[in-house]
Amino acid sequence: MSPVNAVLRRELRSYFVTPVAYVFLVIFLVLAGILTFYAGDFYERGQADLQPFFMMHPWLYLILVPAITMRMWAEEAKGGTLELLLTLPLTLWQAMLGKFFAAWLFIGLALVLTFPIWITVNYLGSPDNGVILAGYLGSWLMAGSFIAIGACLSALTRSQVVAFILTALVCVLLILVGQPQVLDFFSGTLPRKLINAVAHLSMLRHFEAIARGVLDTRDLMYFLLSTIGWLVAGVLLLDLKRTR
Amino acid sequence: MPRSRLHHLFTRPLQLTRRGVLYGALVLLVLLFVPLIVASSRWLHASRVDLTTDKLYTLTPGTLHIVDTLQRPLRLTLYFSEHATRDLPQLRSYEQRVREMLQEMVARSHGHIRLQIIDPVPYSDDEASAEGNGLTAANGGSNGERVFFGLAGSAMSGGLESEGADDRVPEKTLAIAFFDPAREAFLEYDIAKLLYELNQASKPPIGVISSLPVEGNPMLSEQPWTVLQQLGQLFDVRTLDASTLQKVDDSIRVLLLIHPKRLPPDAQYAIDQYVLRGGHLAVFVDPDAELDTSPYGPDSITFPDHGSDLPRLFRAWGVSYDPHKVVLDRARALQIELAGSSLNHPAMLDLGAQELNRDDVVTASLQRINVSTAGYFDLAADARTRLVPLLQSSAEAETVATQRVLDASSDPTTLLQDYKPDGTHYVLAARLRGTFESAFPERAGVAGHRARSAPNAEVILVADTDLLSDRLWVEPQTILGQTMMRIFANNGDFVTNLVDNLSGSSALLSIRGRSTSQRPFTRVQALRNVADQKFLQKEQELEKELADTRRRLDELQPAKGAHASTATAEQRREIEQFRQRQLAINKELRDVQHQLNAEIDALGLRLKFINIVLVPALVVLLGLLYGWRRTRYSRQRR
Repeated sequence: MSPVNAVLRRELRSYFVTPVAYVFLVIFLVLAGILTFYAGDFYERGQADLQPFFMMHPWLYLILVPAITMRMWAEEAKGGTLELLLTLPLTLWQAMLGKFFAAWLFIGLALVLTFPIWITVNYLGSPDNGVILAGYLGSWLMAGSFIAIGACLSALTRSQVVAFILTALVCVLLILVGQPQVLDFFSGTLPRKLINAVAHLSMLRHFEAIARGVLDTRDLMYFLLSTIGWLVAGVLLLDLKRTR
Repeated sequence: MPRSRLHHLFTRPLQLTRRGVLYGALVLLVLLFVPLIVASSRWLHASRVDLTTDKLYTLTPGTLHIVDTLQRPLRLTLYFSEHATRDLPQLRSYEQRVREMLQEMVARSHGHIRLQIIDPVPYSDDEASAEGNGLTAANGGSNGERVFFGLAGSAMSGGLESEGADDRVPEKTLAIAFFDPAREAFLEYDIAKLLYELNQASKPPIGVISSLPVEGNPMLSEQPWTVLQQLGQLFDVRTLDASTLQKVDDSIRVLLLIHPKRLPPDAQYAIDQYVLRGGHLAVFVDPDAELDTSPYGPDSITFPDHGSDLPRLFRAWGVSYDPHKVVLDRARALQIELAGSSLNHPAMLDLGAQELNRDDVVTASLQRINVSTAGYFDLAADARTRLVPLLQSSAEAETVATQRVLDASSDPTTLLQDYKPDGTHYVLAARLRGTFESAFPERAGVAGHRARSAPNAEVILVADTDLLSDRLWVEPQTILGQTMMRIFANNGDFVTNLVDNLSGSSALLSIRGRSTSQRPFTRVQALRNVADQKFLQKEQELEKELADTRRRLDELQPAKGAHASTATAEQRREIEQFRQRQLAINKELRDVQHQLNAEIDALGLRLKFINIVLVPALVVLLGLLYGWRRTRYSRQRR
């Protein structure tokens, strides 16, 4: 796995030599704090849990993940470094995994830096820390799936803006698809079984299931399958570009 | 040549380009992806790790045992008013919790339980069926709609294996009328109990051995005690005669031993072996049973013999109990009427929620239990059992000899002379758990003799028999010519819960209450309590001051007649001062309130600052430092 490791290090370094990483981290932390405390009424509701905090994560990722992943392949394609990268002694798979893990670790770091909220909730009351741990794990898994989507769609285009918009669009679809309002909207036109099947695709539903404190193999499998699926699609798209 | 052409014909379409393969793979991926995810979500065997501290989402082995041993198919219908609860997020989240627990039970039932979820919209057939099944609606839904949130369960006729479960007629229907979020701790117990009762074909038999006239006397047209009448509605109550008892039948689910006096050894042995075989026993003993009518003891013709004990069995089980001691508790003394005056009787106790075990399903939902001249239990020094209190005295209690209480019957207040509370919470009723040894080791040779019980045997001990009598908890009331019972304490519920709980099989017994998922901000609450206290104190101070001013004003009144002009001027000044002071005090109180709320708000602001500004600022600082070091390093290299 050494080539994967090399790509991972190169990517991570590229995040931190420019102000990009710091700007992203600051935006993530400030937004997470503001949304939790103001939109989620964390302090006023007086309950020692992190529900308002985790509830905001899907929407935070909707902005931040596409911003991180848009340059992943699109920039390489535009700057001409993609050809260079492909001449190196590493497979597309290894390059993809390296970039993916770098972004995933970066989001992991952002999550770790939200530790004051965990200290806060433990200071204010006695929360169920098992549920909080599950919430963090679920959030990180969801971020992984979003990054895989971003990685795939960034491989599709040379334009970072297009990659951003496409990723955000797919992510918002996957968040909304299981919402009762959306399902109700289609309930008149689509057969019940299809609607039930579509509801299983909802990212939010699986995330919420984990965030309540239960690690279910079905939810974990959903995130694993969707991450692997989008990464495979990304590799296939890159391969198509190479064989043009 | 023809051979080569033929070869070409077959091989050419198979020579796919690499791009073709890649496109094919992409299409295949898209086609496979969605079905794979749906399939994994629906059919993958779910194994789960419950990370919640109280294992909120894990069914206890007791519930699993009940679900596994169902004898007949059950149909459950969860009624929940979706529309009416739009503005009740707390109830909605509790509904999710209930639904998940039911689904978990269904998933584990190998198809023996079917679950249907119905939204009983107003004026629909569903609403009528919810009411018909025994559900009660709460008021206060959106637009004033009624809220249904209960479970109806039906046991279907026929065995598990017969086909066509949907067409069968329900044999028995039971319901949980409304899922009260305040009972969340006992949610699993309540549902498991419903399943258990549905699975039963007939009323379970219970046995009663009593030396008190609990069953009334038909010859004197005396009714059975209300406790027994209530038990008769749920159970098949069988009276056992202690003088001829040789063996307690194993079909008896619970044995109630009320006021055991001089039980023959054979009866004691029968009870001993019943408990050791896994039978459920509840013992009611009393240092002074006031409804015992036997006039004198065997040893004396001057002292009545109204005490009971079970010395041999208690000793074997590791229980210490003194039949000559009564618990007095001046903090919980019951108010009684005696000779036309009302007084507090320190030997008759009015136990409130604080003295009842909130964590035990038997006592958790009860508010008040009255006892009279109760004794207490403790563990013997060499006990290998555990005592889990159900009813306790307050810490203001002491114990005295039974005779002293009897002597004070005409004036109970004399019991308060030389009263010295010893700070002990005396255990008036308890579960005794553990491995019980036989009290009759010498009968080891008898066929079928057991020397000890299974490790988790359980007996319930109560050190009072008077709590069973009507006078401590119900009184007849005539309304429109009909005699109704007015209930003023939960004694009846206590006994019903106890028998219900003991009869439910050891599986049901093992499902204990769990803590609820509500976790408030204790620090903010503490701040608020301190603030309220401070405010109250300040308010009292200021009101006292205001009262003083008002008094001064009143004192000026008589002077009015004497020196009208000067007094009026003085009075006017005082009135003005009073008014000014009143305004100032009101403002001061508002300020105090504001200041105290400010403390809570300030904590909120500090926490917001730390979470929103502090760490991001540190990240910026770190970034700047790293950037500065990099620039300096590259400048140096240049």
